[in-house]
Amino acid sequence: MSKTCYHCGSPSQSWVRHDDKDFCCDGCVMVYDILKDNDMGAYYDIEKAPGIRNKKAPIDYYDYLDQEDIKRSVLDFHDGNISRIKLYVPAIHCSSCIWLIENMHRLHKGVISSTVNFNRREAAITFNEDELKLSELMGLLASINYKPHIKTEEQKKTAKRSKRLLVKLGVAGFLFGNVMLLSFPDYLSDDIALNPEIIAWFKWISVLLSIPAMFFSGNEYFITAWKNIKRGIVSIDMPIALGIIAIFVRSLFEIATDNGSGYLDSLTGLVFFLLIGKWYQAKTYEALSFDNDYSSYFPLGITRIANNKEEIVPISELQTGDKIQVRNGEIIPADAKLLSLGASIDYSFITGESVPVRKEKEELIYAGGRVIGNALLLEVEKKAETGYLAELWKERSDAEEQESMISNTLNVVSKYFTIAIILISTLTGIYWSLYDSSKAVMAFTSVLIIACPCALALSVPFAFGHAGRILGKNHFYLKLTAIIEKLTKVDAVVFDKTGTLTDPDHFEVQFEGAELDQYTQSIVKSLAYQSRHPLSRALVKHLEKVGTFDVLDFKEVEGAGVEAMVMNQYIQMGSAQFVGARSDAKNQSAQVYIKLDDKVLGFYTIKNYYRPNWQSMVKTVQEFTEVHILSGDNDAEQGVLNEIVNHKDRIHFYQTPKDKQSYVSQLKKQGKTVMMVGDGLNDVGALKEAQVGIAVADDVHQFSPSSDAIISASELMHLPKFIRFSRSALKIVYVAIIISFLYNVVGLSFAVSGRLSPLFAAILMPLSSVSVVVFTSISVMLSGRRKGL
Amino acid sequence: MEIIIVLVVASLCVALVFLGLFIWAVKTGQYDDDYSPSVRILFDQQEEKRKSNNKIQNLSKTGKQAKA
Repeated sequence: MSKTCYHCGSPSQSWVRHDDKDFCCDGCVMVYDILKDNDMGAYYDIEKAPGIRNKKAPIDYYDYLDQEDIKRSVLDFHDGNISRIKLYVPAIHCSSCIWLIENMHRLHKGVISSTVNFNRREAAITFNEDELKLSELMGLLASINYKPHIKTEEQKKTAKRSKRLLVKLGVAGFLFGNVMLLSFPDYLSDDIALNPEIIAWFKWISVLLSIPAMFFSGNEYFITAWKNIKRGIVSIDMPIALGIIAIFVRSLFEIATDNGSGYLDSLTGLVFFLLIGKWYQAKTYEALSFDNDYSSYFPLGITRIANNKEEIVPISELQTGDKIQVRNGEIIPADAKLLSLGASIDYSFITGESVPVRKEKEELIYAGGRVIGNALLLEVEKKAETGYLAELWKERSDAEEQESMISNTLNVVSKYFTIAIILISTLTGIYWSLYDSSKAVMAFTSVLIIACPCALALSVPFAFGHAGRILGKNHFYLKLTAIIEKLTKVDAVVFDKTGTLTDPDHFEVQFEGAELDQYTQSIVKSLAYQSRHPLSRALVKHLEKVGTFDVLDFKEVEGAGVEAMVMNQYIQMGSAQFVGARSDAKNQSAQVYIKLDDKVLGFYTIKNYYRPNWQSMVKTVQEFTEVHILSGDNDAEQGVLNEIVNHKDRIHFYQTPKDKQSYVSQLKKQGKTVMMVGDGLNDVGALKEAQVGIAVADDVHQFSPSSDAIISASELMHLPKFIRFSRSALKIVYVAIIISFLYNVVGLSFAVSGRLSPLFAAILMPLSSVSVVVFTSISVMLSGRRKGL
Repeated sequence: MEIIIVLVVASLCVALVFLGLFIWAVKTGQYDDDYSPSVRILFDQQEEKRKSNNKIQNLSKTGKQAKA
């Protein structure tokens, strides 16, 4: 068995030996020590290596949370010094996590109690503010690598909605059961029939019970149907609402005139089954949902300087012209002008490029950069909501979001279905009014009743819901199940290169020239250590075994190289021109020349480390769609990529985030359904623009850019398999739709001829729903198993 | 026969009580999380801090033996 980290279980190349155990990094050791010092070793007993590795470990400040009005807006409950808050902790992933967070009171006595809601990745914490400030509580959680997030309004709403749906479902079940029992005597043969007076009583009780089924449990169908009519859209809710009304009116009429027994058991059953479908859909949605936009990366508050006084204000209150102070490691929340002398800004968050950018006084700094070094004084140019970042991230409009919720196929099918049903029912009504007018109204309503597309409405949520769960188990998380359908239509896939096809944390490093001794290696490493250029960092990682020396006179020439005095030797490191060497290799940009005291020793070739099996993955995808590759980097890797991608003109380098976005929209204009696969915030624009945006994340517990789906980096090679699986899921939906049509044809033939009996309806409707649900669930499961998912 | 109506009304009332209980359960959040309670019940309570800490040491020892 290969060695894994005692804390987080991840494999590593370098090991930290501590307390007789192996750890992958100092971060893990730190958390282990915190737990051990507090006698919380049970964390490791419950699950093996349950920890989370916090690779990026950005510094976050939570001070702003102690501001009175901000605090009041985020706390759930506040009385004297006892406060209660619900935090969203995406890192919760196993039973050890639950144990640790629920035992927080052992870490700090200010915590009174904490409860985890696993499904929602939520921790409800009650704490004593005299002993533990809110900011300290957040810091405490972050220090054990469970980085907390303030819950968004949307998350709070979803929780309420799912509760209401459950109550509705319970009520519908209660009504269904009782109405079914009450209508039982109707189905008995005449010899054992009850007293008709009693039957009449039963019927009126049923009518009473059906009213809440319609207006409480089933009210949403009327609301959405009405909304859609107003917007001129025909949707599946319309025939459902029509059917419900038809059943109720007809039953009421029959019961009032003592002319039959009505279809109230079918009515309540219908509502119950439909709600089961809705509930399942909501449950899938909850299990899959991930909610993040750029503002969850941002602090809620920022230090504003007004009249020589520092005050912390919420970001939303920032006005143009405000002076703000941003400290080391903090993110600049709005486009702003630099007032300090000079600054280094790390834009890796936006561009993916990890070399910090130098900015001078009076220069405009875009939001999203992380400050490195001293605190900066800035003057806000644009409010946070109108800045560059917000523009990239522009939320889709409400209508668009709503439509993407519902499956497209279902929309098209139900449109024709509704029109057909209305036609058939009218024709039937006309026909009967000509021949036997006593049957006209009955036949007309019978058609509406039996055509109520319960099975149709259930097919999609169950088929896609199951498929979404299967994909989720394989670390491919969909935001909405309707994305499965979009996946099947993709005919252009755009890959981002850096971080998506390549692994941002690994490089292949090779030295060419006479091998360096350990002493020289140390000198090289000392110099590389000073620079934040990715190539330098790759070198440091490569030379991790050797030590470092003090560095004097360090100088960095942007785009060329670095130089310094190390151990009284003058060392230069950088491009061939920079050190004055002659180079004959083709792609110079990935070579680092070493020059020690006027002597060029050779060069390091640093190659991107591609994720395993990426070539076969891209090739398989290429079998059924076209593949494009965009890279924000230089063109050093052109050769490698040309071998894989069929068309050279589909590979582009030096792409800014805006370029990527417009590239995708260009493809869309050509009538293509575009899938964008990217990793960083630099791809956010393109991810949003594409019909299907997939974010690649090394750690799915951590936040990643807003997208339609998140795929774990290790599963990226299975992407073609996922696409194929979603195609078969769509086929299953088609079959389910055909099955429900068959039921409808049978039912309609009875209804049109005026022979629909309540008993027949009461059997056919649940039967069709249940059989469609069973069929889709089983076949999706089988299809998943066949595809090895 | 009229007694049946009384019975039906009575049984409906009983059913209503259960419906009420269900709604109460939903409202108090008993359906919010169907995973953590099942795990929570297995967690050891307090007091055996020492024990669990010793366990860390033992675990690593047995782990080492297994490797050897």
